[in-house]
Amino acid sequence: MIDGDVEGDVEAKEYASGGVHWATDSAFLRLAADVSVRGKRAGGLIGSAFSSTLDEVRASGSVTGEAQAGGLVATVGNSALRDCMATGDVLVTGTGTIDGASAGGLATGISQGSTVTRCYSAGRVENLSGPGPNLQTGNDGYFAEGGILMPFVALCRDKGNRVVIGPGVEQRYTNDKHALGLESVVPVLLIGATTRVFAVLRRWRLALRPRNVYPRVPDWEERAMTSDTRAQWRWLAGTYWYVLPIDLPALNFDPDDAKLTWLIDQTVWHISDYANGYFWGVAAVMMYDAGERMPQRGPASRIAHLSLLGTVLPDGKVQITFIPRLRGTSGATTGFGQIVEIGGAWVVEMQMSTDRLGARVLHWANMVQTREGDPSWERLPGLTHSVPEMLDGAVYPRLDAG
Amino acid sequence: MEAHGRYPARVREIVCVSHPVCVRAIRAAQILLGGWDYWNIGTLAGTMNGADVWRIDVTSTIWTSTYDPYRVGGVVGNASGSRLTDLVVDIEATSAKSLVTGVVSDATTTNIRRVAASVVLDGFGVAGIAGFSIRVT
Repeated sequence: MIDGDVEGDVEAKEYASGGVHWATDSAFLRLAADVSVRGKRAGGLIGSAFSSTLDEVRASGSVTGEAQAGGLVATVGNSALRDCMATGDVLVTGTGTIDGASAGGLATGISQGSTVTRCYSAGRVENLSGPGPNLQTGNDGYFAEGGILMPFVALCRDKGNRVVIGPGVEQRYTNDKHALGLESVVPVLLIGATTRVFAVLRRWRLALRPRNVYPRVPDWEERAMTSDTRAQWRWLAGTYWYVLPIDLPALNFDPDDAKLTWLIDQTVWHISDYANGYFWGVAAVMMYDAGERMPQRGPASRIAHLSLLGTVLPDGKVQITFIPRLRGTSGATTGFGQIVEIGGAWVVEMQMSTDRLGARVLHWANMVQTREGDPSWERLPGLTHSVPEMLDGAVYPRLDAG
Repeated sequence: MEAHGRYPARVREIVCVSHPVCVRAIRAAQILLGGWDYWNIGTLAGTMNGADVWRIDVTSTIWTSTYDPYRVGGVVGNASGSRLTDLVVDIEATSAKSLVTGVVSDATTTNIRRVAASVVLDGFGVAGIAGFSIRVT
């Protein structure tokens, strides 16, 4: 299994792909590439995939090939693509002596035995190779040859005006234009049942097309993007966060005498789980008056454990609610913030306002990650405690499977 | 860390226990290899068999001189039967006649999980994460 994210810029004399050059008998799950890809034969995510499965994969970078360019994959054989998308622009330059140059929004060739389910492409697809045996597969299931649009494999719209591949859950392809070349592909396209399928697809496309505006980017895509971006923060699960030394001071306001004082507030989060834009875990908090040593005994030395429930938007905005373990204690605290990447590390910029024995504490801080082995794991800034000591005894929220 | 010589490092097994230690060891590694008799190079290892590597950050620049190896990986050149998990990779690599990749060039039967890679690659063939993914299930 290969999963993960890759971004950047790659260029090859021959074969270029955003994620994987060649795959055989392999599985890919939630693999995403935002890579600008240039080569003679180029694939946004994968160059060639055979006897493989691609689930929830996407490519969003531009893909430029001299001879071949596929938004997601260059060539596909006997493989299954499910819940995938390619959103980058696809360009074939046709430079050099190139026959059979082809550009495809999703792929340049999908051979027999492959299945494509709930996939689409949305980038601009161009083939500049000029007259000759060249193909261009657009995002709507058409290729252009000599300025004439002809129905080709792949994309059509369902009754909800969603772009899908095939008239149902699955579409099996019967051609491999990359291997056959145009002269061979055209007869394949125009004979027998294949022709009838394409005629149906064309009618659907025309019938379901909005009267006034052609939706270049269908609303389904936006929803798919939302679904996709909900998954991008799944790495939050299993992470630990703490307050940097510079951010330890918190402002305390006593309403009885309108007095402001400074506190030291070290907080540890352990985000134990994440699902669909929601995350949860525990927070361990210790506060004491600034200018004093960390209390070693008495109520002030106790570590407060809170349940942590949060949401994160696709752009990284977070809301976290901290709930005392026992009812009847002081109420929940809600904080807001933003996950940002600084210097290659993730930081949660948080703002909080919370009740503390009738006083009000305001605190904003950069929460950064800690891991076992880090110095901060063994001794947190402002405290003599380690992360495990802070979290010892905490009760974690559980998702009721029932 | 800088490596010179005719042969790339050949590592039978690597177990990365301490994340910071690995970071210190690998960060800013630059590999410069010359000679003829080699095939695989990578920041962590040229060849890796049956290794279990996890939670490492690799920031590396790789270029080759005098001749080009067959496979260049930001982390490993050729890995088989291995597991690479929770990688953060920042690679810039150039090798004109090689298959240049961000993580592993030949990943036959090697699982690569939860990788976050930032790559700038140039070669005969290039791939952001893996070159060959053969029987990776």
